[in-house]
Amino acid sequence: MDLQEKIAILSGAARYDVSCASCGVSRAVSRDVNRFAEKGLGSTVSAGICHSWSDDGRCVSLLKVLLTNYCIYDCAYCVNRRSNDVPRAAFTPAELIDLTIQFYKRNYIEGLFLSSGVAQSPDHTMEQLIRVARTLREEQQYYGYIHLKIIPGASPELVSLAGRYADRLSTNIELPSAPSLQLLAPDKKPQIIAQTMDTVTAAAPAAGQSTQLIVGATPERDLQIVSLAEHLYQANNLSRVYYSGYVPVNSDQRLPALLGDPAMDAERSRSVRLREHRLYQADWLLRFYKFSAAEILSPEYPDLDEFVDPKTAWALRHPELFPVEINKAKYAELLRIPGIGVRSAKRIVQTRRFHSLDAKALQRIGVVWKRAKYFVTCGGHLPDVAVRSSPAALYRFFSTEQKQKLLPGQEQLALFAA
Amino acid sequence: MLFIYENSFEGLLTAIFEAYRLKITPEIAAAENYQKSLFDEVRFITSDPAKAARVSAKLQALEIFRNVQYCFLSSVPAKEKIIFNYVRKTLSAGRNVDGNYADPDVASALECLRRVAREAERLKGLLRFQELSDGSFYAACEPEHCVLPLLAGHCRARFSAQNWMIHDARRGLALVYQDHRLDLFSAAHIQNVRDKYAAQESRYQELWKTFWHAVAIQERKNPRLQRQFMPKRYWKYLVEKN
Repeated sequence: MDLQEKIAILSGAARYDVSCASCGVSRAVSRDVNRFAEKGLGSTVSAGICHSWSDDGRCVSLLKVLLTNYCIYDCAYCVNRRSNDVPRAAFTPAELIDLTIQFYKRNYIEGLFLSSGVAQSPDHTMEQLIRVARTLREEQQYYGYIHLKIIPGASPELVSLAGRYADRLSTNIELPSAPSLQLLAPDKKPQIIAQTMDTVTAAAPAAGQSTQLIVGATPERDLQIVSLAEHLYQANNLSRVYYSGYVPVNSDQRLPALLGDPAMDAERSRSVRLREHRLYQADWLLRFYKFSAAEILSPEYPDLDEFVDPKTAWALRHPELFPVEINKAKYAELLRIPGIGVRSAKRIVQTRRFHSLDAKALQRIGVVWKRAKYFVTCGGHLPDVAVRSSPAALYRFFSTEQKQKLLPGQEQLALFAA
Repeated sequence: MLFIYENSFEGLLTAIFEAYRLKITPEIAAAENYQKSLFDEVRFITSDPAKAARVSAKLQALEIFRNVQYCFLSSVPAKEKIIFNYVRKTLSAGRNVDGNYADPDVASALECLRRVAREAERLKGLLRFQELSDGSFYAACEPEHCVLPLLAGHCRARFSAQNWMIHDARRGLALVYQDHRLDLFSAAHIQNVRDKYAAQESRYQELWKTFWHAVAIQERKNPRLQRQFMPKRYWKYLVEKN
């Protein structure tokens, strides 16, 4: 099989892996700008770099491929499962190393994201992945980014070896609950995934550990998913949790069936994407806005609202906390105002040292005024009293606006960039 | 009063010096952009290293030198006015006032430099090198702002063991890294490099295209989102878009 065919099969097979981040670590061949390295290739920058965007609008930062798509497992949701009749291929380590180096030299990529189907056994597969990473580092003096997938059940020695050569490791938790995993991926054991993640946490390299899970294939509510993410961030010190809206690739009676009607399938695909988007927004609230899962959702509100973002939904449930006086509020309080992000909150705190802020100043700072104006006062002055009738009226107002934006032509608002 | 400065950064700093010396607020324009008008009272400013050095020392003391450099690299119309107002605001405050985002002069300068910095960041990802038969690598681009100087450090740290050139075809500039030396040249005439490709170049371009098409999820096509992150003006030099 020629290399063109292999790359088509093995990158196509990796496309449902969500993560493409190249961030979290900064390294150069030579930090001394006056001394040039004679050998060696590559550097990493801590913010990460996107090199392209594919036709689905997702960032392409890493050469994301499987070493092989042969797999001994038979997971219902996976395109590479054993029982699927799909073309199979495997890279030789030499082919993959050459592709990485040549793509990197042409500035197509920020590095390598290497995953694999489970061939023979987790340890055997892990050894193959490590061999590629080790050769890149030790023989090719390659200093670019490497993300290695950890196969659940791989031995702790191999996991820590992988952590030595890679910048980031990831273990997929796959589904939001143990019963769902048992149903759809009977070859994978929840306890083994959890153990492996703990091992990775201990061995994690500079850019840490990430994971991903599929939403929309099983019946979990958003509350369960957001609480799981919170737990993973706290207990396993994860850098990222990725959410992958379920895309039907197999027909299987354990999975939501295709509806057959193109219009209905399109509608379901739209709502899965929107759910994914809302989960990322909730994830941002956990990581950057100091929200807890219990604040975002509760048994009373177990799902994220389709038409209002989670921060606004939270604010509308807590009218007693608003309006917030912009010139006095603490940083943590500013962060919780809809329409104010991390950057504007920081700027507000900085700018207040010079003078008090009014509506115009806030807009110049970059506050999304059409949202924030319902939740703030500036120097005691209410910017927009007319519409500020009740949370219920505001909810209708915001959600109508969103519906108009989302429903006709429905474009996706994905947040894959980071 | 209209000041015309020679197109360099030193020229602009000299013009700022002269404005302060004469205690006036001039319009400032680069010679290359100056169109003769009957009504303006015009003064041509000759670059003066000593005067420029005094201004640059002051800007460094106020920690706005780097910001002013970035603004100077921009193609924003009337960037000189933005720079002058920003310098004047900072000078009259006697300290760095970058934190004051609500001030229009500070905000326009910071916005201007942010646009330059953002394009430089973008190009760090979107540059595409092509291997030539002498083993060196060549990348062309047509950035909106003059960002080559901002790419130098990054590319040198990353590609230190290979010779390379980044060609700003819009401005006729080339950033050249050869035998561990980095230089900025004017390069008006660089011909079609396709004839000089290394033997394996086309093959890797094809492999990259195959990869790029294969990673996209076809069920989720979203050209609008793609253009938002990767505007069409960059496509001309992207292997995967040609």
